[in-house]
Amino acid sequence: MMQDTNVAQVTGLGVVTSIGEDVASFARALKNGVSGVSRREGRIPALGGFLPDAAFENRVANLALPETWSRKLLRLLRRAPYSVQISALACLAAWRAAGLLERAPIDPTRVGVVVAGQNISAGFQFRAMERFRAEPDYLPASYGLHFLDTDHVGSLSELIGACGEGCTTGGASASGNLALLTGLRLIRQKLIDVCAVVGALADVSPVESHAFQQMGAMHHTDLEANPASLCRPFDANRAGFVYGQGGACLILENAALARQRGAPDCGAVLGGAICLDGNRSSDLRSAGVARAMRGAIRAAGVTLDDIDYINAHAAGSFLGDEREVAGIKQALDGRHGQVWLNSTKELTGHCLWGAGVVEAAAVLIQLNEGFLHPNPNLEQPLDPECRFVGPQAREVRCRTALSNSHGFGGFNTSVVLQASGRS
Amino acid sequence: MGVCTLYEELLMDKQEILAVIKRHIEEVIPGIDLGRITLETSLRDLGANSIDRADILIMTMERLRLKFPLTELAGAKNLQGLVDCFARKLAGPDSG
Repeated sequence: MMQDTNVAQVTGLGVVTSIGEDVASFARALKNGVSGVSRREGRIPALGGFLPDAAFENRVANLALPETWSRKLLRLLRRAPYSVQISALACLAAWRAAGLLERAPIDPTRVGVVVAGQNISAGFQFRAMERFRAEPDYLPASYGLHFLDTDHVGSLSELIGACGEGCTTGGASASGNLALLTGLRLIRQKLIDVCAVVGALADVSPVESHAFQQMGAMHHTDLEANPASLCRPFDANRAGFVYGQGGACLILENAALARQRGAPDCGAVLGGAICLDGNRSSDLRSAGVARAMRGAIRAAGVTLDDIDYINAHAAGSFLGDEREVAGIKQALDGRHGQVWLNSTKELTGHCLWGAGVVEAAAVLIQLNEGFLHPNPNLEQPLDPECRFVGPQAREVRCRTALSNSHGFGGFNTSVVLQASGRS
Repeated sequence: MGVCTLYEELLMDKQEILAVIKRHIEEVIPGIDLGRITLETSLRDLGANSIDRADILIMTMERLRLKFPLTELAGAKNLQGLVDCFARKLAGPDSG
């Protein structure tokens, strides 16, 4: 068992995804294998796990926060980029779940904010650029704040009154795990006691979207097929990742202090690893996957035998899924028939920079509620030896899980998460 | 509506300019008590920080189809000063 000082307790979760805009509905959708993927004509990309169209005011009202908090959210963020608004909603939901909304019993200088992502508001910038070309003189002054990824950090810091360390973490699609591990390290080093770790909604513009398709990474919209059938992690007929809109937040806390204040116990982040691969390209390599997973197990102070379940990166990309499965087998050293495997991206779409945090939330929910969510599109597994959860949900009580995230440019990451009830 | 017609209407009535400014104050500071917005108050009094203030003024310029450096509004002490300045700009360079 790891010492408390090396572990971060998760005391609150918040999610805003296409399959659920709060933890309860997200959990239900996971259990039922609901896909959030739809097609939206005229949008680029046209295929994705899109959030329902809703005004910020309505989303704020749905949170049913005390009046002062709703006012604060609107005052601070009504004109903010979409992604910043979603980060704030996820963060405040998690903050409330952690019992920190009402007169936080914590020192603001001990509270940090880490936001996962880079080029987060590219879509927002693209739209501003179009307007700017037509009419540069009326560019809002606030664009100077809003185009920065760090607008997330600043906004959340003002929202929850965080005055400790803060930053964004950029690691392409591994950014979410980078953020979780940055938060964990800040707490381990006793630089802060509480950290809001946020996976930002990736607001991609038509330019990035098109480039991802040109690379062969992103699914080309198939007008004939049922949109929900197109994202197929681990399946023989997978044909690229499907974009997903989603943000999430985990409140990490120094475990001893969390226990002292009687904070909720949503599980723990035990450790993890980030390994580069000497490779700037987009092709995932099995050895890197295995290195990150083994490193994570070591860093978390657990053993291979403790791992019950892996939430794979598995985006449904042709080469990536195959290489990841090969890496997983390599890391598990013969145990791959015993460790459950699924991919949340089939349901949410690939939330890119936010994916690691969205998926960490999915892992903790599954561990704590005793189920593993299905992958309804997994009809022909690419490897018959692995223990895929498959098309039906399973009632399995797992305790310790790995969550993998891999990003372009050789970012291999894996994080070890554990169910609630450690002590 | 033609732009010129709009200008003339606004020229007729500084209340119209005030209404435009008010609308943008409301947009930038959601939930503000509209009763607090009087000619004697300044944007700063209303809780607008420097970026809020610049946004409100730029949005007002856009609505009035005016283009001039924001610094020319720096001397305005309150909304009255802003209204007067926008009215002068609408009237054109020769109107003093």
